[in-house]
Amino acid sequence: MYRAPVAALTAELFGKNRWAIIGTTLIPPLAWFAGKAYLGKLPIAPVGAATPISLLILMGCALQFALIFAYVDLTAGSKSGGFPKHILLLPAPTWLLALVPIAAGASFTSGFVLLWLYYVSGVHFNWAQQLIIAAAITSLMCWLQAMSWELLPSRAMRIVLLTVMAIVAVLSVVSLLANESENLFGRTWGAVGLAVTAITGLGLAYLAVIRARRGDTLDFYDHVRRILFSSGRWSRQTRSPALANGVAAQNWYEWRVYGRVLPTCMTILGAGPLASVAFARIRHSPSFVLPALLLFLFFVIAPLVGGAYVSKNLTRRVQLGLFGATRPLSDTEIAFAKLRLAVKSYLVSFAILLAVVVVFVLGSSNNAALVSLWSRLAVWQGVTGSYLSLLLLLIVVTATSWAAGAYFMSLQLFAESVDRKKHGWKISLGVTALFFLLLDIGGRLYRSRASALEWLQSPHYELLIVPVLLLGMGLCLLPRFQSLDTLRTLNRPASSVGAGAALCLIAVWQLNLAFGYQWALSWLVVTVALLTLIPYLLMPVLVGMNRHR
Amino acid sequence: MDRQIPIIDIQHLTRRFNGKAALDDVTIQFPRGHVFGIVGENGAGKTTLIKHILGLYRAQQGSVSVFGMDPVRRPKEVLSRIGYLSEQPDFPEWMTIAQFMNYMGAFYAKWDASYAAKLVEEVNVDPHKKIGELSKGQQARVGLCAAQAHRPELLVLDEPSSGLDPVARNEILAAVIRTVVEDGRSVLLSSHLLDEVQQVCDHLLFFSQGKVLLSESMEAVLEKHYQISVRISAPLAWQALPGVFKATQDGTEWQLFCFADIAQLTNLLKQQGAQILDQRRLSLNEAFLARSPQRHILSEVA
Repeated sequence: MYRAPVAALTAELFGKNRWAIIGTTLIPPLAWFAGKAYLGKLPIAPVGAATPISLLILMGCALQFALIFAYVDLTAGSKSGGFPKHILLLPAPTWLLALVPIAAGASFTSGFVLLWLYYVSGVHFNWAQQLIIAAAITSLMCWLQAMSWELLPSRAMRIVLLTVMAIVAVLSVVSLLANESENLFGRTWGAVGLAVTAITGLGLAYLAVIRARRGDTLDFYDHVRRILFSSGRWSRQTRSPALANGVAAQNWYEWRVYGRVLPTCMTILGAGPLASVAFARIRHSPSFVLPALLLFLFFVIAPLVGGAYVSKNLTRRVQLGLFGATRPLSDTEIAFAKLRLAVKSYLVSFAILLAVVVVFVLGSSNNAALVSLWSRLAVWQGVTGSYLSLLLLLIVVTATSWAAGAYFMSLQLFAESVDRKKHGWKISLGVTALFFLLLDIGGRLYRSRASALEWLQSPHYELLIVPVLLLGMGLCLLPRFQSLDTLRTLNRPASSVGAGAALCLIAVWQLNLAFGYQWALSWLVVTVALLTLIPYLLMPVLVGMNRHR
Repeated sequence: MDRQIPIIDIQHLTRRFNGKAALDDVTIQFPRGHVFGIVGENGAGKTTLIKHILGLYRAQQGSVSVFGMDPVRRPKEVLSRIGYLSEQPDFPEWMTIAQFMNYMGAFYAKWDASYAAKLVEEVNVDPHKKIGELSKGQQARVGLCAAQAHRPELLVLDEPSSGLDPVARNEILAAVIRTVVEDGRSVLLSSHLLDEVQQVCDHLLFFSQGKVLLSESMEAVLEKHYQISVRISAPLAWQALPGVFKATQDGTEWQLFCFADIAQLTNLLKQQGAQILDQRRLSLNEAFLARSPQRHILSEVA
């Protein structure tokens, strides 16, 4: 009876997303083999264990699967998800429309997570335990579907609720899987939590699809808003801020559209470690894996979504649509609004992250490792030197993030400057080949490290010539911005930031060897300051060029 | 404001995309207090011209001056005096209409909040609705409210009626008229709906393949475009006739399309031995079809 609609739904689901599904399925084994082939030769943690990187890949792929099978994803741009909305017009029962994507998403994600845990992390679960994990993933799929349909007025509230439910589901699973002696909440509460998330999620997802299919999502939305926010305190009328002038208006606009994404990401990521603090057994065996993972993620995500300039379409970081370009502001004012957004977004995110790490460390009741690290640093650098080193570390991290942002920006601009339909597959192949080539070069360098270190132990002043030449080239290119093709021209200086950073660090090394610590430190400060400033300085130029093509 | 300075002054403007000229040596001046209509086939260069006026394109050759200023060098000063509505406005869909008007109002010193509220009220939509929840027509009408509420010296409308129903189109025309009746203000309307252009514009620009084919007052365009049927046994050198821009031949009968003083032209034809069979004034639509290089396709469709 339901064979035909299920077949039609499945065809829609897998027809549109087959490459995304195949790609997501293939990434983990490819990464695993690549790790075996290259990283396995290095004396680091054995490949195959649950390293932060492997956990990152697991989380990324699981999220990707969930989004493929969602109607609408929860990214910043709110772009259409993997499951097309026009499916609501198919002659199929509504419960099938609600259940098929959930079932497909839950089975794919569960299968993926369980296989990963078994083969990569070496964690063995019995059938009952596997079912518990699958049930938790299914309930999260239900909530993801439900939150896709604007059952709550703002996206931030939907994301927060989804995060809360994710935490409840994870806590429930851990409570059900942990030994009774180590269990904080107990299995009964774990079972209750899992049942509540699954049943409410499924009900809400079904309700949301019914409403959406009838075409009265917006009415329903208003209805819910009236019930929940009838006091008027939260109503939309109160949300128009007093904007003194155009600059204030643009600052408000930039922050509303782009600025909150990175802090939100950090809050969501931070919620995991904070929730884990609640577990008694973590107190007994403190782990710095999660904060380390958070820091790692931040530095990966920041230049992409917040450090430079975030947008639903990342290439628009330096482009202006008609609406943006026709605001009666000078180029400098627009650029400063973007820079202000970037700085604010970055700082807020960093503050959130630091707060999470501090709470985590304090909550773990075991900061011996940190105290030990600080003592060793103080012995080596002195107390002032240690603070200075920490400060420098922060600056280096910021600069690296900005340089990476500029580099990614240049890649996006390069992609914009070519006909991707025509040349996209060649670029993909080229980038893949380059990746493996770099891995190979890295391996070769590591194997020849002894001779390389010996060579580097003596000062080579000629290395300073290269950064100077790069700077000269950059200065020569600047006047040509007016006449050359914008996108291709920009690719060069932006890419050279990364190369310049590497060369400048070599120069620091050499100065340290030749003239000592103080010279090296001075040069490091200058370099880092320049690297941090370069993207800032580029931004007004980029805005001007993209506004007046 | 200095009424002697043309509101827009374009001199020898040329713009090329991948070697192909989108605008080819365009020279136009727009005096104040008029409604200018720009018409032309798709890809004629209308939007490219408007983007130059807004400062979104830098002049590759030639110059563009708006209110006596370069819109690329002084975008703030120029754009603060312009109201603009594009064919496909990319308004922020997450904003409510109230937020949108609040946001837009912050940019303009002359923003009239009560006038803005009145305009929005005329659109008859809940100001607390998000822009993304509005239909395309409602979005255009809200955009028009925002474009007018600071009483701009120049209102630029780039194909504002495309895809809109007659009610929404009338709203836009009403806005144009409202703008015109206020002293010294100007409108630049790009459209392919010729009845709309004929209704409100007092000056017309025919654009084709990046060139200005005709820049005349609407009155002259309507009064001087003629189709003349003549019979002549001798060869007819129609290119030498003043104002004749197109001719078709069927045996000894000719159809001449002209923009000229009709009495003078017919006298000249008679002197050459031609017999005038018929003469009739062309409508704006017919004049456009006759002048457009794609006229044969349009004629077949018509």
